[in-house]
Amino acid sequence: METKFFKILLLFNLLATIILSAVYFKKEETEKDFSNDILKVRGLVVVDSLGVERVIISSPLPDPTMHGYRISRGEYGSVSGIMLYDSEGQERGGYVTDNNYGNIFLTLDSKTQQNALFIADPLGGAAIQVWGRNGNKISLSAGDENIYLDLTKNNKPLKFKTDEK
Amino acid sequence: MKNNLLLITIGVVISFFSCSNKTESKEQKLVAINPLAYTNVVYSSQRDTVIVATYSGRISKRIKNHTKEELITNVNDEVYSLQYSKSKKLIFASTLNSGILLIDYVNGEILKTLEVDKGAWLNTIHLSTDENYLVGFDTKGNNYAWDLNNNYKLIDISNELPKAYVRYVDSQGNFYFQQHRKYIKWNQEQGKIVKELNITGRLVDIDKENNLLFLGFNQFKKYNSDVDSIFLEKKHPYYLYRYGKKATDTSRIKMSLKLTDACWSEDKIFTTGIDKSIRVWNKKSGELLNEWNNTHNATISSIDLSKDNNQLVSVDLKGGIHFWSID
Repeated sequence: METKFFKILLLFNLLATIILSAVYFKKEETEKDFSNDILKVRGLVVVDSLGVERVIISSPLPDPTMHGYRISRGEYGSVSGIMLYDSEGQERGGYVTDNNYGNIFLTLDSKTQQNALFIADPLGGAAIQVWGRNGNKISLSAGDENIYLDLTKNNKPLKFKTDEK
Repeated sequence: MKNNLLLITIGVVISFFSCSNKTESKEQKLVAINPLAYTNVVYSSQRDTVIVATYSGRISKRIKNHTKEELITNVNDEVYSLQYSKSKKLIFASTLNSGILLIDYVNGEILKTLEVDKGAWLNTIHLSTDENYLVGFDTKGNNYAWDLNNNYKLIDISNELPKAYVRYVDSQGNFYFQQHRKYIKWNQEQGKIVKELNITGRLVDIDKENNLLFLGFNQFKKYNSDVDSIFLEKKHPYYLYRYGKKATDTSRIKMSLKLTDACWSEDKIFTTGIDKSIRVWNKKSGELLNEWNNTHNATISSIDLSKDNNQLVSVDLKGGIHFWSID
């Protein structure tokens, strides 16, 4: 009776070993090498060693966070593209297209607001704008019909020459 | 023998299928990623114990001198603002997609959800000191005022004051609405406007004398109700930039950065912001009394004062927390 039991046990062990080996090799096969493939995804998030998001490529991109809360881009403010975030998870700039009108733009942001914008209109024309707080702003734009260079200091237009009208 | 073999074979086959590698992936999101940042902090006891929240959905207890969090619940949604009802032992948590969650402080169970407009969320909620009302406005501009003594019935205040956003309720039942360049003090029981205040900014605190504390971009303002005007208007004088590991590796940059939170005791005002510091001011004179510069390594997102006014707690966007003794 005892010999019979050990035979059964041995057989069971053999079968279990074969099955587990098969499972192991099957698992090895499922670790796929993507280096020669094309990945099709809706979003990609790069996080740092602490798990904080630092780069997001997505369509659409999420609304930006701001010191402990999240603000809405608004009903028509949705954008898609690449966004960069600092070590606190704060949105600091992106290279995006908007999902309504169709502008493409590159932005650079401080921790509190957008400070630089390089934008192209889908119908033609482009502009560069840089600004601080308190109404200081420089705009440079070119369209099909004209060019513009506007300088504003403390919310007042700045003249290039003292005799400029 | 044959029966035994059959049984063993069936057992092994079942084991094989139960061991098979399932490749179902977890649902991924583009939000609720940042697991570090503390978004808000509130006291849950007289002192030493607070509740904190994160973008990743953790709502936890932090106790002074304890290095680890005690998880109350994980709501699987971003949490922005917390309020705590001491009488009900209830946490109110505003979230990105789940409205306002009412969570049992003792067992972490979600007892109720206060719904908000679809696709909108509340970044800040305020519980009145008498714990009668919970108020706030969402990202679409809708106002909410829940009556806690009437089964959380939503009070309809939207028609009374168009384009005004409710920020605060004082101990007399007055609702404070922010409008363009002014505030409106509206009494719920009387159903009428009590006063209009010509002041801008975010109302963050009201003291026993009905003085109001406001935050502008990088300044705080004390509105003195006795003289009906702004009494104090101050900014953080500089930003202490740390460029090395030594205590002396610092540089004072003469910039007043954005303030994120403020509160006051009977004789002091506490302000904090993205300069990672806390400044302590004399409430009457506006004199800068103290600067706590070297503790937090990230933007301080929230501060709260203990009920006995002897302790302040601060949390930051990299998971830092500090309890400050107040003399």
